[in-house]
Amino acid sequence: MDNRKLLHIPMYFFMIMFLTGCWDQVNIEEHGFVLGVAVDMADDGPSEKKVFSLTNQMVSPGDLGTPTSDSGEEPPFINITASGESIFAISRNMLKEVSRAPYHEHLRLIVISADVAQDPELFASMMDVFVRNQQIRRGVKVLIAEKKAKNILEINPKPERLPAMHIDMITDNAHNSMDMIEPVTLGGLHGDLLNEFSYVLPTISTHEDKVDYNGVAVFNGVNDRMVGSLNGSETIGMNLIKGDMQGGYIKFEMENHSMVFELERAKSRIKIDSKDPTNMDISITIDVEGNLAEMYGSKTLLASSYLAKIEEKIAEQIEQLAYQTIDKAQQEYKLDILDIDKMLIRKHYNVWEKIKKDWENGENYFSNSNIHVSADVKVREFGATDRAKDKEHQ
Amino acid sequence: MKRFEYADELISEREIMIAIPSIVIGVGILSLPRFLATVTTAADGWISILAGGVLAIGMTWIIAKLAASFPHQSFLSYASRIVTKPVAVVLTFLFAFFFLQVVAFQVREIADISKQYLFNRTPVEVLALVFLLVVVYAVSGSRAGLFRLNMMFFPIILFISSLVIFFSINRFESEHLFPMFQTSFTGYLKGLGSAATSYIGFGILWFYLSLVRQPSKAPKYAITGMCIPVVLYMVIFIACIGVFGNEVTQNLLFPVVELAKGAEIPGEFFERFESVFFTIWIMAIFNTTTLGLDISVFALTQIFKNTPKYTIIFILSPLVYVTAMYPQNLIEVSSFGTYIGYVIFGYTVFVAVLLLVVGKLRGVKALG
Repeated sequence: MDNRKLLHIPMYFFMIMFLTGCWDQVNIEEHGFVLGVAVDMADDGPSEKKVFSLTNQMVSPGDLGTPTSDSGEEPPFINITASGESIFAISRNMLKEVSRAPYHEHLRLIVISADVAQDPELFASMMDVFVRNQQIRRGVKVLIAEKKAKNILEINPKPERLPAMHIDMITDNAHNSMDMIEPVTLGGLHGDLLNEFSYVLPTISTHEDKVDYNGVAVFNGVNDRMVGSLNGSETIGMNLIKGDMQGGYIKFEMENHSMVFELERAKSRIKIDSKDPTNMDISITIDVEGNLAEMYGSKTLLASSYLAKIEEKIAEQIEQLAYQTIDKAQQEYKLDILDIDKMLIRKHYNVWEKIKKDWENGENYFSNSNIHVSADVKVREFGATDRAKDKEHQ
Repeated sequence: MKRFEYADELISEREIMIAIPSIVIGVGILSLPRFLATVTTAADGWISILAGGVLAIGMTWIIAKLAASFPHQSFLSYASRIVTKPVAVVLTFLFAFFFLQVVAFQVREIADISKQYLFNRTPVEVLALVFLLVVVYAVSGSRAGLFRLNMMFFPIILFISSLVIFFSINRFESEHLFPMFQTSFTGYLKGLGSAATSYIGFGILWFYLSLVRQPSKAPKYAITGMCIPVVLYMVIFIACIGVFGNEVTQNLLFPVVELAKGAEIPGEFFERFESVFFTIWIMAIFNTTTLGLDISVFALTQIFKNTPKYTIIFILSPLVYVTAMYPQNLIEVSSFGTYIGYVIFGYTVFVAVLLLVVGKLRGVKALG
């Protein structure tokens, strides 16, 4: 009996070894937290093979604490760049340069340069690496850099001191302005890559030490390649047509005075007449509500006839913005970035089944369709006062 | 110190009600939305889930009714009365065999998933072994204790599932659900196959009903229990489609895990929700696996009356481990799962039909 008990003692020691259960442990200070990733084409080298470079923005926690002095301190991040022929090889190469293994669980941002996105097959296969990685969450935002993506991660922002965090927060402001689109996440992009619809990604550019976040890059859904871009005002048009926004403003002229209309709500209704699928009639109604935020004239707003005129003027402005975007989509890119195809699937599935091969491609029925836009504007309020200035001349 | 002994090895009807969803909800649902999305349009897969569920509920009721008409008799003894002893022994043995494979599949799948999402450097073999050892430990104890464990774990599992769905609501896009009802009939039928096979496990009633105190009440409770996974699966499926869309769901290996991974808790004070989800889901799989292994053991103890339970467990465990490690990659694991699903579903239905028909023909008494 005693012998058996003695045998228990080494057994307990043996068990304790396994009970720690730390096969996969990595101490938190050994993680190299990557917050942002930028992908560029590598400048150097003959381009028989596509070589691109990857920049990881890692947090340098020691420098992130409360700043003791304002000047002369190190930025709280390190950007590490390496080049290679595949993202995976690059990340492994990076390990030769950094002491801490990159840890992507907290990644916020992936910035792809436009020339990578324009390459025939690079973009989709590159995103594949990111989607496939289990560490990377599907909520990571994807942006297209107009020039070099690396530059985006090198700005020196305030008050957020990490560029990746800074940009991440800026993109969340999208709902307050009309020339930005809601940030596209990696998960959302995964869907775009898988189906054949054309899509847009937000673009970003640097301007000295600031980032400029507006406009979108247009992607062909079939070969997942960037084919062009929309500037700020064309993006406004697209947003109005798609009709989900909560904020923004429209500037317009009224009897030679500038006025600013603050948009509160915009909804669009799309009606499709699919009797002739090769030449559809699509009518888009945009309902807009908002306030007058700024006025430079001094006419009373309380007169309903004048208000009606203002509303008409704003509607005209909105229609113009929308047509400008439609023109660009139909004539220049011949791609349905207005999501009319998704509408067809929902409401006219049978028609869609017949024409889906020829909607954006082949016969391109999208470009043939007649799109008509009408805007319906309601000015709800104009602030606390009718006029803040004296009558000048009336 | 004296070990606590349960007064008897009998269980209440409510424990049967919980045991059914406990064995049904396992690793299957983690990938079920992917299979359904591939064969149906948009969110139409819910119809297949519902149809499969109705089928499973019907089967549950038939089995429960049949087993309940022989109160407190083991499967082997009432099956012997209906189809003679040798046939009954073969039927029992096959049940033990198939449920053993379910156990092996669950062990392998949870080891694979844990490796993929949690322990990148730990070998699958070690993960599977550790998990299996815990399962063996549980099964070695009292059978009634297992049911109590189910009762304890199950509400937690339901809670975490609803939490995952709740925190996915803000990423839910209703346009992903359209167009509705555009799937072809064959599409629904294929979906029905995947859905129905994800409900396997109601076969436990053949055995566990003999433990129920008041068998006559059991069928009602059993089908109530079966309704839980049906509803849960439908909600989870629609959540997956709503959040990811049909195309993406088709391409995610474990859509439900990804759903948990993306769940956003307002205020962002708690990220990496999937770690909690995993912990809880391992409990769900633990439930499935222990019940599965226990059924095998139970079936074999009915055949080999003189062999102690522990001996059977010690013979079965290495078999489970070897079977679990046999598939070489993800594709093989997945086809292993599909095969088990169809085989068990088919076999359970076959046994039910056989016992019903032969029982009626031979006019065995006490057949309800």
